[in-house]
Amino acid sequence: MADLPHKLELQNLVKMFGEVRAVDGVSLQIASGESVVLLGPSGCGKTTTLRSVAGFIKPDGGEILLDGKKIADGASSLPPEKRRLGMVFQNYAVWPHKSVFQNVAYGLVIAKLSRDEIAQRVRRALELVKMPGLEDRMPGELSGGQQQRVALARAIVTEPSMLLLDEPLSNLDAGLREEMRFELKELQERIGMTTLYVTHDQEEALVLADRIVVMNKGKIEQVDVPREVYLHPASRFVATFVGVTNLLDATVDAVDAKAGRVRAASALGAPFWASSRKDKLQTLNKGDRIAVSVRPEAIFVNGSAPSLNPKFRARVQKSAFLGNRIDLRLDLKGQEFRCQVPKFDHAPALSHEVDVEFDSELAWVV
Amino acid sequence: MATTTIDGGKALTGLRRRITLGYEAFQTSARREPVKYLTMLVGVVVLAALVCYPVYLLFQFSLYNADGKFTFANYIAVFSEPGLLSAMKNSLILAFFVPLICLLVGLPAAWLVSRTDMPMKGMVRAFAGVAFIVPSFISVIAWIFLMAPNSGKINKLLMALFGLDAPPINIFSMGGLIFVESMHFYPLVFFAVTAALDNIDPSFEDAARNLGAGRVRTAVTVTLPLVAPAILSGLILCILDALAAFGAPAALGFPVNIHVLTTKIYTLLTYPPQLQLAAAVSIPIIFFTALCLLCQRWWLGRTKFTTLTGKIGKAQAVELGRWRWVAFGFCFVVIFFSVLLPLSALIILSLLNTFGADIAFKNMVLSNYKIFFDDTFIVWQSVQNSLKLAFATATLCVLLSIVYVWIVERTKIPGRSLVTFIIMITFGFPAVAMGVGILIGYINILYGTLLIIFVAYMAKMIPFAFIFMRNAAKQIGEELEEAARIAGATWMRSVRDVTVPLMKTGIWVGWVLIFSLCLRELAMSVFLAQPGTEVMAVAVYIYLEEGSVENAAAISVVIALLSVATVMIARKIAGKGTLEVS
Repeated sequence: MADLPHKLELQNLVKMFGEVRAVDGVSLQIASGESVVLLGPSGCGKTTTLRSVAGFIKPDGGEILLDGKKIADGASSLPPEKRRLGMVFQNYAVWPHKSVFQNVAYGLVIAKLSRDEIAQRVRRALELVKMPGLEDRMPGELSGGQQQRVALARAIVTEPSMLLLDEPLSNLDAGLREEMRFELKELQERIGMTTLYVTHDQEEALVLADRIVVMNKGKIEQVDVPREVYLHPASRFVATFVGVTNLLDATVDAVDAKAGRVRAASALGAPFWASSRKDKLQTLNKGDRIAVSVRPEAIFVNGSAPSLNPKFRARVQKSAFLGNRIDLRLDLKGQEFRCQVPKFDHAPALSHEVDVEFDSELAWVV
Repeated sequence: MATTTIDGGKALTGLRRRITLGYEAFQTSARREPVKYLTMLVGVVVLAALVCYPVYLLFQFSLYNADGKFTFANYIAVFSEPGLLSAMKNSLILAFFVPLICLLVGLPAAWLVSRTDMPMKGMVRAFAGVAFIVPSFISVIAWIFLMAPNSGKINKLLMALFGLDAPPINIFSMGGLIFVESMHFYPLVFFAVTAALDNIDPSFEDAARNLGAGRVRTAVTVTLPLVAPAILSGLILCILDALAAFGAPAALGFPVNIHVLTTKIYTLLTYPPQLQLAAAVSIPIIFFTALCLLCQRWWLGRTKFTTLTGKIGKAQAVELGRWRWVAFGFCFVVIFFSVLLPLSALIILSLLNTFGADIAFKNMVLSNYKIFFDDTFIVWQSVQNSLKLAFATATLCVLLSIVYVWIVERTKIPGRSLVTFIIMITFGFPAVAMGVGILIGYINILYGTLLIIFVAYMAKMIPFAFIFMRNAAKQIGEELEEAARIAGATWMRSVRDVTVPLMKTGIWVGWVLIFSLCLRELAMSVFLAQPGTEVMAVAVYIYLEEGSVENAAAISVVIALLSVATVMIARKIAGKGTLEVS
């Protein structure tokens, strides 16, 4: 079977602003129909990467290929209007002087489609985004959420080869944001559109992505499905940026390659077992320094679940009732650990000592 | 980008690399989007021809004598020849006293209008606007009518009332000139300060009152420092405009041989023209202007606070109690002397059959206005010329400014801040100096045509269009244009479909304002106009020179009416705030 080209391919993309490498050798392949999220803190290069794909930024090095054809490299760049992409901007950029219909129809007018075809496609697009019948309204009369849907309709009506979204939900209020996450995901799957999102909200990334690309300081730290990025982070940065975690410095005490785990000795006292990726295990020897990421949910308090790991004594410093759980801050041999207790009636009191164990499958070597 | 680095060599290679990269990127972009870059190139070339070339020539001519030899003799003459020296002294006197009086008049008026419950505030604002709109070379005619030493109506009145032997007021003096200019320029301070006061965060003053400060103390210790930057801006504009004025100093100074630098330049250009000396006289004005602008930039850079915090609530008006009508009396006196008296005198004068006649209905005729329709007079031709020039200048300025604003606000082309700088130079350049530069630069090809006046107007008016367009463009998010590009529109199309419609208000207001400014331009037109290419303001000047004051008055009334009408239209388009000076 012939090798189908990737929908989008970035090869060693480089962009400099002055002396700063905003995008520092980013390589990525996106398959047709896939939804990929660039996740990272501000300044990590995700927006620069997206805008390079859109054509508003010209790369200083590397290549961008769309459907197997080169559209930009360090020497030349195809202008945005020739790339046949759709884009939703952070502030929606819905033109205030044009009606909803004129906004959505704009790309089709430029493509010189017939009046009937345009009217038909605009109507269909507005139905897809759940805004039927609002063709004649002016953007000034619409709420933020409605404007965002208009922007989305405008982006998909031209049936672009790929959809780009720049923090599409960040300007919505919290409740609407959660609702729109699922709607966006459902829409994307329904029409089978390849999408590239940019966001700094890791929960959003977990919902929207088929694959998450975690970026930091212009480089990619990890590319994987959401579950893997969360449970098996590839670096300290990914572990702390995606979700909450406790990072522990330790040294390798023993390696159990078959079970995929190491025994880690730390300042906490008795060594405990932690899991790791097979290929990383092969590089570890006794005495190596490692970091272990222990998420709050990987810590058992007062024997709430059995494990293979020894118990440590900790003192409860802070306790916060969050509705469905209690957040605890523990003092474990001078280091602060965050963990949680799911049930209200098991909440330990402040300043009391508790027994703490790590779940060896969830404790992860980064 | 300036980097304070100890390793200068590293900074330089960084700069060189940036320029090289910038140039290469520019080359490839240009190949991809030729229309965009060609348009920008044309715009820049036009700018160079309009501004850089005349300015360069001005400096060059000042350093050579008539035989073509390099010399400093021109500059030495400027600072040693008694006529030139006294002209410079008078200019400096103007530059000091006019802003002073503007401050004494404008600042209290602004505070009264903006922050107290004085009655008829709207009327005071409106009349302050009119005082500014009606050019001083027009109101000066009225003042001559009223306060000329022998025939002035007020002098006659006062002499009759008090039995005086000699006329008490002589308008043909430095004092008279300072008075006329102040009455015209005080709105600069007035509007600058009202704009600041209107937007002040009331909690600043509330905090002072809460801590025990009374009304006056709060006003002096809290409010005044907060609007100090606005006061300074207004004052600097007063200084620059007082220095650059030509019409009033010419009308009041020539008859009694009192000169300022601008009128001196004019005489230097009358036959036989001494271009080199004229250029050399222009340079000190330019440097002084640059100095003032730099001072303003430095001062405004120092102030680290903003008073515009988004209206939380309008400040409470200070209650004046029994001082309300005293305050209004003060403002009324200002309005009376700046607008009511001169304008009504002007209208009356335009209706009188001869200049010296008594003011009585039997002497009022409309015949003076016939000159507009009589072919033997230059007026009709001058009206046509004015309208043609105003229309063409306004339109082209606006179109070019869209290109310049695009270069400055929407591209990353290296050197684009130079474009802004060049455009803003002409803003501070005195019109007379600009006129001399354009005269030297284009006299050979464009002698005696309307085109040379057109070139001069363009050069002087572009900054206005640029400022309006730029403010309008700044309010349009770049994303709105990018959305059009992504949907398939070329650069030109996205400008047409998105940028221009959204800048409509700025475009219209800019157009109307430039149109109005062109209609009353005098300082450059008077040098560059030849028989057949006069504009309305020049016609006024010519009639004044030859003594047909009533004719001059008639044309002036028309100019004044046109000016007020165009500004009212601009206000209508833009909503309130057109007259605010920033």
